Amino acid sequence: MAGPGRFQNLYAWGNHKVLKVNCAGKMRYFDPCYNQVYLLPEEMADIVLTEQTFQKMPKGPPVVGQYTGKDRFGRRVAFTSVGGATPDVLQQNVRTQCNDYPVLIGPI
Amino acid sequence: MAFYETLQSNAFSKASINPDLWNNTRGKVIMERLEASQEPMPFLEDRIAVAMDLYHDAMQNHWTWRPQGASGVGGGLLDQSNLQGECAQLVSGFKALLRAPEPYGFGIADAEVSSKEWPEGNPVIMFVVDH
Repeated sequence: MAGPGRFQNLYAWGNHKVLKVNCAGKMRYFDPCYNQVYLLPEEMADIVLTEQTFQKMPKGPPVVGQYTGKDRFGRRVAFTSVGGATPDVLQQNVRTQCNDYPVLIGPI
Repeated sequence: MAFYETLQSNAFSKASINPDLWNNTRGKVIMERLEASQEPMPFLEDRIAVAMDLYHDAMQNHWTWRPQGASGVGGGLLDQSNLQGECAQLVSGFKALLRAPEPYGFGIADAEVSSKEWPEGNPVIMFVVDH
């Protein structure tokens, strides 16, 4: 997804930095690493995740491996890390030097 | 010091730079391609999104994710520097483009742009996007 059409994705990230920009009163979160733009649930409220479990990585400290919580209807939801998919995402975006990736969280 | 590095280290003051040094920077290529883009960009967020596409393309093979021990300052990426570091460095480079005065960047005030690290506290906030 490129250009303005990218406002159509759903991701959560562990241990990651993005840019928060006030765009004429609308807060938008720009993620140059993954070339994405995010909104927050205050605008599109759907899911709040309240619990997290960690997993070990080849290098460095453990990272979040799964988030769980509830959607706006109170239904329990779980999002697990899809680390195996992360290299593909990175290949589309930025070059990596080792296998120590940030964790992409996606719907189960 | 190169053009965008100088801007970044001088709080993006236009008085700090030599305009001639803008030539041959990646930042100039990005801004020129943005102006020439045919993408629909009715809002500022759309312009920034397209600029991020162009920034992303410009960084191919010039920035490498290496999460330990590197500076988080990335303005040099808009010049001709090839850097390695954490995601904060790539974010810093794009922030320099947003903060740089026009026509070198978007001229967005410092108070309107900030770096955020996720997840932020507890509960974890899920990004939900359906624009």
